[in-house]
Amino acid sequence: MDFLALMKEAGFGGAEMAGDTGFNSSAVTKGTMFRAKKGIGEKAMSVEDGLKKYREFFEMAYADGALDRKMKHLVALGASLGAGCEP
Amino acid sequence: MELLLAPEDKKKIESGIREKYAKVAAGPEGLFKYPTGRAGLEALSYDPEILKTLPSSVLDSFCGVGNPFSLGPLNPGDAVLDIGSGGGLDSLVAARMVGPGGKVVGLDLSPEMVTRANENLRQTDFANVVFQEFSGEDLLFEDGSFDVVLSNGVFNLIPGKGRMLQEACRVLKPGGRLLIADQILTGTLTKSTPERIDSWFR
Ligand SMILES: C[S@@+](CC[C@H](N)C(=O)[O-])C[C@H]1O[C@@H](n2cnc3c(N)ncnc32)[C@H](O)[C@@H]1O
Repeated sequence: MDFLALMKEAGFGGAEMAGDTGFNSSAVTKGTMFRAKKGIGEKAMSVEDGLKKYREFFEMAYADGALDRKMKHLVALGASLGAGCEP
Repeated sequence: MELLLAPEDKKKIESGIREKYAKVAAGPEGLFKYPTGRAGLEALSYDPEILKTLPSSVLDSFCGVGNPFSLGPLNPGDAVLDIGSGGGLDSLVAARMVGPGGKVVGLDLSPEMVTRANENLRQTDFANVVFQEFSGEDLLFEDGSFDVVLSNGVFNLIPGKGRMLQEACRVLKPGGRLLIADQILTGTLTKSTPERIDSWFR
């Protein structure tokens, strides 16, 4: 696998070669510049990670607080019926 | 390119690198096929105004293969990691660019190189630069610690390129930059591991 592909696999985005330097350490290699950024084109979140995040959000939203869990579920049921959603 | 190596082979490569760079630490003059020291820096168009502010012994110890700063200047306040910092030239140029509000960490596998870099550092007045001895394949830093990771003439020496890139990505902040000067193959390497390490030398 070439170096740019390795950079992408490592999670870098916009990986590119940016020219020769003219400094060659042997007859079969040449000095080359590379640049990349973290964050652009980063690996997409896996399905499992996405589900996990959703579950975390759901648990947080329904956690006992000023309203207890049961009350929150009833409010949600009422709201979804009112909105014509399938609860 | 990503070789699967037995741990013994990896150790062999690393000790080969340590052995070679113990010599380079005394001075790279005559040990490389490309110009080193001040001549190398001038040929690669390093900023003469910055070079003027650095001690000549740090300029002498330069053996990089490109100018990472040609890819764009660093910003004042940036936190910078220099992987395979050698005599520390790039780290000190970076320290000049990021100013007292930034910080620079240089790391190298070779203890002699780290010693040389620290000697060079002592001749400057930077308070925000440290040099440490460990491999770029296991970065002992928290996720998202740096704005810039740079590396000059190191990756081709490393068996675990993919691993080192993953580590570099991990320690960068989102949006952080990776700036690399290195050697790529233009022909075929048929030689053995020691000869490969040797191919860096005359
Ligand atoms: C060609 S020299 C370049 C030094 C410096 N960057 C410069 O431009 O002057 C390569 C350096 O990489 C270091 N090195 C090799 N493998 C390394 C690794 N796995 N981790 C950290 N440094 C490594 C060597 O000890 C050596 O100092």
